[in-house]
Amino acid sequence: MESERNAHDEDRVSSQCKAVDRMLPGAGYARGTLVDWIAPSGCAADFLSLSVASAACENGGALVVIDPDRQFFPSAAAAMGISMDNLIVLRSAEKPNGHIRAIGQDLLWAIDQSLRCPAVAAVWGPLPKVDDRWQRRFQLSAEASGSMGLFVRPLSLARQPSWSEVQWLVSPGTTGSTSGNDFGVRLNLVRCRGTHGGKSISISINTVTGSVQTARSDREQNQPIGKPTPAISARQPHPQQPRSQTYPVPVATRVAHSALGRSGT
Amino acid sequence: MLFRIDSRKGKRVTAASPLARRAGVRTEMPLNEANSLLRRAAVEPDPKPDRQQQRDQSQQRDQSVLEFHISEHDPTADLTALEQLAETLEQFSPVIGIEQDLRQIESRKKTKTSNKANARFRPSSILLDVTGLSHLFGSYDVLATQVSQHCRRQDYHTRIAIANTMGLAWGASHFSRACQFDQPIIVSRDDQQFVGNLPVAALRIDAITNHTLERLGIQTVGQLLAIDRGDLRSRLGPDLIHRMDQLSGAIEEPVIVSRKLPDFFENCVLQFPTSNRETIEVIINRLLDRLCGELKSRQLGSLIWKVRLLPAQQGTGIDFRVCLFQATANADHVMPLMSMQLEQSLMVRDKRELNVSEIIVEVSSCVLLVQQQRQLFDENPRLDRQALAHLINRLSSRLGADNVVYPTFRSGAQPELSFQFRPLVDPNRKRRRAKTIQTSHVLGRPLRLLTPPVAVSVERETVPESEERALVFRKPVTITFNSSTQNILRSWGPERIETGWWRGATVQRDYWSIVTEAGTQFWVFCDLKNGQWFVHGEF
Repeated sequence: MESERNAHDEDRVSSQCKAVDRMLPGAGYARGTLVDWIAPSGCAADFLSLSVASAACENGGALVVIDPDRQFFPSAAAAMGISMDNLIVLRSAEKPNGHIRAIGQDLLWAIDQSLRCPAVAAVWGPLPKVDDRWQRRFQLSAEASGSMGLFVRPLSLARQPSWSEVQWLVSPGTTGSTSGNDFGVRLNLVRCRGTHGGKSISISINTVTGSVQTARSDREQNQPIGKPTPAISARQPHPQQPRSQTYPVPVATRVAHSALGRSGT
Repeated sequence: MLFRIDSRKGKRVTAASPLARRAGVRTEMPLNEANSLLRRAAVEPDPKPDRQQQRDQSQQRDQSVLEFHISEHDPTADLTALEQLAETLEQFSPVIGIEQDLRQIESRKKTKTSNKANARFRPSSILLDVTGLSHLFGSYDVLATQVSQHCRRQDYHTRIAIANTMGLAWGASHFSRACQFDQPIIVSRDDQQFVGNLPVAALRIDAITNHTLERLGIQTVGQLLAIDRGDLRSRLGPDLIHRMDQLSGAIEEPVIVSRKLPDFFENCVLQFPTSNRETIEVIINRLLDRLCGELKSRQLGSLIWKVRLLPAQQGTGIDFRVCLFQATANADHVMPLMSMQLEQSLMVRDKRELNVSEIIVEVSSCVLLVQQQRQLFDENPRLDRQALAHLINRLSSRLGADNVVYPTFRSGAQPELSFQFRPLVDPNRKRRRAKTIQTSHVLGRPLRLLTPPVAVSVERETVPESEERALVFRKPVTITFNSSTQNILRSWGPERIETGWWRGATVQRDYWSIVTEAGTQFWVFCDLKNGQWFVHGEF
């Protein structure tokens, strides 16, 4: 049972990757919808979803972070360029007990209230399995206000019904890049209103700049049949040399390295 | 028993119950030692126990140890509880204060020593000015007994003394053997024997002066009074003389009222006491409307709204307050939050117990309301500050102010200590623009930290003997996490993090970002003190 067309359809939020945007109808995520990233841990789903939240907040709305297990690390969010001025963190009153398995009714109510508020641009955070009625409420609240619900969900919910407009399955991928700073992720479009699901794309995230691009291996696979694949050097007028690691190394370490005759780690 | 964590000395006892004191527990004792004393003295052994009795005793001992409540001392919570108790005592006296440090009051000495003393000062006494109130209760004895019973009903054991001066009342309640828990006493400054037998510590003097007097063999106030005042002043400073004069009443010492009086209030005395929630809610709404009208006429708004439900008979009423993110004078915004608080307050109380005879609504922290006209081309079209403020108020009311927070950053390299969450709804909140964080990697840190870090097993690469590479620079090659071993394809690091010695136990860690063969990325660190590896976050 789908609801009527979203009133905020015209206003689209970019995924920060043009190739991913092209997979979505309207070249981006519609405001007033829910988006799920179903992912195992360590697949950069947090980064991908928070990037969308950051883009959604560009016009001044507040970002509400759901932190039921009290693990949110604001320094990492600040490094991504998230404005701390309009950031609200909601925590569960219960003491955290290891990994998140359940979420309290109060926090679900808080998510619903936040999604219903027109001053909130996006609600972001981990969301375990919740009742269908709550999900439906979230969807209706988001639709009413134009807020976005961006949730990272555990892999066990991969085949569960959802009220989300878009649902991604995130899995580890390959970058096909020689740069040591790239991190590969495979995105499978499980569900998307207005287009067919089942599409997939490999993307590579540059851990230094945070830019998201189609993975080189994927780009090569997507070349039209019949046309010769141009050389990498031809496609990149100024091919980048693999850069040396720029990870901050303490002065003492560098001194120790130079004493040993090494340039870096 | 309460303990504090000292950065150098570890866990130290800060307070112990009489039962624990009987077992030999003393303040500043290491917690481990106190624990063993409690375990040993939990059950007094029978001189000649048979086997069954021995078994019973050992069982009892285990149970008794469990009965001891040991937790970390929270001075802020202590002060809050003291202030709350003081508020409930307003039915006995209009002038109530929390004891204050002499140096803090006078602000005479601005030296480092006095600042340190102020930092350590932790009030534990409530002062009531009951001058001329005896006829309202019958006598001072009845008044003291009623105060004691009131505190007992709230699960507090108190030592109460009524005296001519604040100094004498304080000294008698803290140091007189005649004053026991829940047994109030009344003393007079004319009772020379009583005053003279008080120890010198009853004068509220600092520990250094007390120690000096002890070394001089002066133990009681009587001995001190026999010494020439000029000599005392020249040798021990003016504070001692000041305290002596306060004890005797030569210097007047007023009670400094701790609770700020409300800026505006409205009350309603009910002819027929009620416990019906709907009725109470309607009356609160009516009082709120009147109060908001008053505030609006002065262009004021308030951040703190307080409701007091006073009972018809003796007993404790209900007090609750609504703190707002943004000052308002709109009853429609405040009333839903008050209804929520009222419901929560009544849920924990038996309705038959509560028979409300008077309802008071107070406001404090009033500020001038500034209306900003919205611009046609608003810079932030989506950010409706008013709507956001209402959301924060609602969330804080339901989840609690401590769970609706914003981050602030602190200096320091240790990731888990580099930030702090503060409640958004806090009348004392200072609006500060959060500083931006400059890092070399946008994705250098995970967005969620595992607390506490999870211990894992990591193997480092082996290097040929000819290559003299220090162990810390050898990359990790395998990780065993959740009982599965995976090869590490790529790693970045080490990023060394060391904390300052002034923060306590030194922390030395080498952080690595690793990508396993399964394609997952972790943020791990090696504790350089013991070589143990931990996962601190998953990307």
